[in-house]
Amino acid sequence: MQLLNRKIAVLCFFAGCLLYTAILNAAIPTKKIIPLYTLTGTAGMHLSKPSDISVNSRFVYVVDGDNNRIVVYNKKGQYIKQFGRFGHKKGELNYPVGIGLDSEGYIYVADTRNHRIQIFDENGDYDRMIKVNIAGNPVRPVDVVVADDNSKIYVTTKSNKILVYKQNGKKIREIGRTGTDKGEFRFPATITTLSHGRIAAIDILNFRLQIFSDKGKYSYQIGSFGVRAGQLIRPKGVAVAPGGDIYISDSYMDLIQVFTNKGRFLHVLGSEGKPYKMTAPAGIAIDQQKHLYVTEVFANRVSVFQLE
Amino acid sequence: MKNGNYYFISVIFMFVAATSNVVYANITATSDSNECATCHVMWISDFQDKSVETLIPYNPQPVELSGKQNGVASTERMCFSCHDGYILESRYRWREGRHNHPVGQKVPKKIKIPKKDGKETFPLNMDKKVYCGTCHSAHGVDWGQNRSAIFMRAVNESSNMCRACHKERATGSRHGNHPILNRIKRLPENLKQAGAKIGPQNKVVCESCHRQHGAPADKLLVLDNSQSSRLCVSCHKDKKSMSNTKHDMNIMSPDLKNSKKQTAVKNGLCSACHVSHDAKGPKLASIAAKQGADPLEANCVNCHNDSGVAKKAAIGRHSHPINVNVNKLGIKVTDKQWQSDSVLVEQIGQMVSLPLYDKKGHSVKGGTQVACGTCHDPHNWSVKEKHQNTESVSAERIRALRGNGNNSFLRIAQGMNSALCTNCHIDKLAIKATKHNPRNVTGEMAEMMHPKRQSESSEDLNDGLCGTCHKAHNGKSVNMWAREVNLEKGNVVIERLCNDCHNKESVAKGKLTGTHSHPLGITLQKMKGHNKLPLFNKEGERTKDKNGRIDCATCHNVHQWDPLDIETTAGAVNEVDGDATNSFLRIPSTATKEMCIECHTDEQYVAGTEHDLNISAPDAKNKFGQTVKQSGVCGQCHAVHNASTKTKLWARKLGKANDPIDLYCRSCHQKGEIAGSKVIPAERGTHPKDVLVWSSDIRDKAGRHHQGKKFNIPVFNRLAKHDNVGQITCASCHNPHKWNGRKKQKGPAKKTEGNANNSFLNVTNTENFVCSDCHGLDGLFRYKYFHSPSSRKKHRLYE
Repeated sequence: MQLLNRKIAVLCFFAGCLLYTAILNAAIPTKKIIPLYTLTGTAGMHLSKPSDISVNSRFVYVVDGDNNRIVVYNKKGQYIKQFGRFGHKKGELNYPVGIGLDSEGYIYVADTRNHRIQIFDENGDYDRMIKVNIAGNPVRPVDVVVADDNSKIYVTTKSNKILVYKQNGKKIREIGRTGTDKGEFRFPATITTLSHGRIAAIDILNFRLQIFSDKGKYSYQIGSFGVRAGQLIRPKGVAVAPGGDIYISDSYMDLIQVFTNKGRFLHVLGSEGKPYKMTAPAGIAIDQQKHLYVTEVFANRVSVFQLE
Repeated sequence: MKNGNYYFISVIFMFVAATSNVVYANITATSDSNECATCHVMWISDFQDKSVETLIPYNPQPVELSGKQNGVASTERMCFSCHDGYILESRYRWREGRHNHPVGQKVPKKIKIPKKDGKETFPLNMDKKVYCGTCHSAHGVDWGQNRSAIFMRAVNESSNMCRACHKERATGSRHGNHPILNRIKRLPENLKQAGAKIGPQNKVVCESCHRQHGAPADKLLVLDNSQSSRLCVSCHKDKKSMSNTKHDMNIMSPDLKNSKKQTAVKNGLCSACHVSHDAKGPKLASIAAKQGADPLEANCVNCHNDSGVAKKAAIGRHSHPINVNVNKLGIKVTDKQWQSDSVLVEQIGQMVSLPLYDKKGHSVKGGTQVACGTCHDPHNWSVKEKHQNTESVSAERIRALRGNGNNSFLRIAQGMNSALCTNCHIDKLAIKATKHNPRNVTGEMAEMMHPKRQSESSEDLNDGLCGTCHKAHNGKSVNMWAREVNLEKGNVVIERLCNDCHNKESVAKGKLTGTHSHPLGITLQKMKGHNKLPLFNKEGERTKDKNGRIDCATCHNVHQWDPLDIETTAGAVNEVDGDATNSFLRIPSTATKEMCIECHTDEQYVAGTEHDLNISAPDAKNKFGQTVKQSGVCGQCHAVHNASTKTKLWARKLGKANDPIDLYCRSCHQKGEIAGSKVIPAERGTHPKDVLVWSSDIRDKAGRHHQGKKFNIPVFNRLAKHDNVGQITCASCHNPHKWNGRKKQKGPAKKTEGNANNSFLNVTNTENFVCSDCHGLDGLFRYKYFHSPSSRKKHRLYE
């Protein structure tokens, strides 16, 4: 019996080894997405380097950055309107990058080179702005998200901080600083909200997504540098699916990876066992119908997929 | 090992295996070794580990030519992964339809990549082609620069990197390239917005016009330069006014191509004449000069010639000269500022300093030569009518437009006083106060003076003072003549021009030269004088050739009434009649000077003799009613115009005599006339008329005979001309211009009773004495018999 136990133990040992090795060598898990349609622009102008996208129940808002405008589509992909043009005045934009929406239909645009967040109403008319600065110096915002209860506005900046504002434009907190440690940033990009008031922000050159509490305290991170499944090279966009899974786009590897909200790698979006190759996917959004909207920046389009 | 241990270890392995994918997500984000792989992704060791499945395939391209590095980072997508706006904003560089520095191409021969130790400083890829890494890298190159570039191989501050390879583009305007490293005040805002850059100290650099990435226009230009040349006029704002003028080839000739096959429509209106690189001549000329063309006009005549696109505005044969030195007009140029000592400067206010050039056509600081660009600003249709220039006028109207002296791309509007002409030809401004200014001629005469009235075919309407007679281009004759030229109006060129007005049916019908006038078209070869007056060739052009001919302009300066007083207005009165002290003469008659003797030098010795009426009869008048003060010494006897006779151009009433020469002498030497005390008896006081003398011998000053050329004692035929055989008459013995025949000197300046040694006797033609040549010693008696009634005694020899 003792001999049998030993044999079983050895077998288990080797089985574990084999299992470990097999898992290591296993093909990267993919999950199929179904392309629906693409958005390429209109109003006589093709999209040019669209950087971010936000959706609500009715509309899709695309930051057509190189054209300094926001293009609005309905959920069928039909063009509705556009607003914004190059400039520095109210309502004008200067290479905006990110966009966010609140529950009342207001549209928040990170007007990057104008160092401000501009807020438009659902008609696309200028409402107000928040000048973005740190210690009195203007800084460039990258993305903006509004808390689910509309109480706070979170802004990622090229100064490696997340700034938190109240709706009245008053800054209440700065999160992070330059660095590679937890809670530090090297070029925060898109930002989204999670449950319980948490926020998640892409940290591009730290190759990760960082999650913070509603108070701004570092919680955990997802991703690391590399080319293995779950690793990142140029993370740009983040979106949360209705079920809570976190989608991260990688604009160098041209794919989107999916993680649990705890950070465990699930799969790469793809088909037939291979990652679905996009062209520099950056800002992404997912609506309640599990439509995935991806800005393929280098391809000057937005691709819309159905998630399974 | 105990069984329990085996189990434990197995469980551990299985647990690890089951949660292995969590390991993926929790690998430390960064480490030092990952910094390089941030860009050199293909260096990640997982690619070499066959047991690892990677999200992307291993693809080390492009590889440098050296083979040293692989997985070189500088691909377009790697750059864009940061420059997409999220880290740095460079999306405009990838805008659709935009132009980028070529990659994936072999280097053309004209471009020389600098080398060090035999290797290109800016590396090519393994296919020997330019790729992103040629210019971009996280690693600089050893290029002698004292600071590092960021993600560039070298600092490109003054477009140094551009110029490192594109040397042939940075040689400056003398070598056919737009100047660089010149300072400007500031970079125009629109260029700044378009992504243009300026070098340190505001120096123009390659990147002031070009962008390596995301250029909206061909040739990597920061602005679309087609049609209106927006890029050029961003800096060259004063040239913007050329749009919608006759020099705008978008309107005038959209198909016209320069030497680079460029058209205004595609490459901008400036490209018709200028290119920024590979220019073919001064001013960055876009078209090579025609062979033999003067560089100072080459740019213009490429189009303004009889077969060119501007053939309707060809400059013509008789055109304002170019490549002439303004110093010859008395203009001094210091630091490009013009000055003149002429007193007439006050009349024009301040001289305008117009552009001058060197002999190669370059506009330079010490330039002295006149070129087309001196008078014309080809970018500006009208200085005066600036606001009427352009935008509101239709293209068709522009094409049909005819210019005049107030536009036509002139730098100075001519206006009433031909301001452009007189800015240089300031001495000619004196014409303003003369009858040669149409404004001083009233009524019907003024109308007749206008050149347009001269010919139905005359298309140009040159306003202003000078335009009455001159037009800068397409003159009908020499002197840029604006009026018609009638061959029947004279035998020589200038004469015909003058007679266009000075004829019976024209405005100067009261000022004709008459039937008997100073000969024109003759040379001065027979004259001994050293002539300072202008002479002309057969074409009517001034010449210094010894065979130059006399023409009206030899004696007359038609622009200045009084040669001694350039400011006088005395000549402005319509009715004023001139005399030898004015009348547009070049040299006035004064107490010490006569214009005639410039050529007729032998006759100068009449001054101070009794034939100088200043001495003998200052109040006497010639046929025109002029005293000697008005007519000058010569003018008392001779008239340049409207003379009584062809011979001698006599200015007095002829006397009574049968002798054709005697007629002239007796104008004065007869009773009742000014020389009434010096009268020779008409019948018996002259040499017998029926005595014809052969006089073809010549004597030199020493009295030696020479056969052939010159008369010994001049004798005259019935036509009063020298002849081999003829009568002895007054002029046989007398030279009325020389008191003392042996001495070249002026007269005693007082009334003097002469003797045989003077008395205007022409002794140089005799061996001894005029009479003695024929009559020997008897000559004296014969002389006294014929000249002195008191000496005329009856003698058996003389009945």
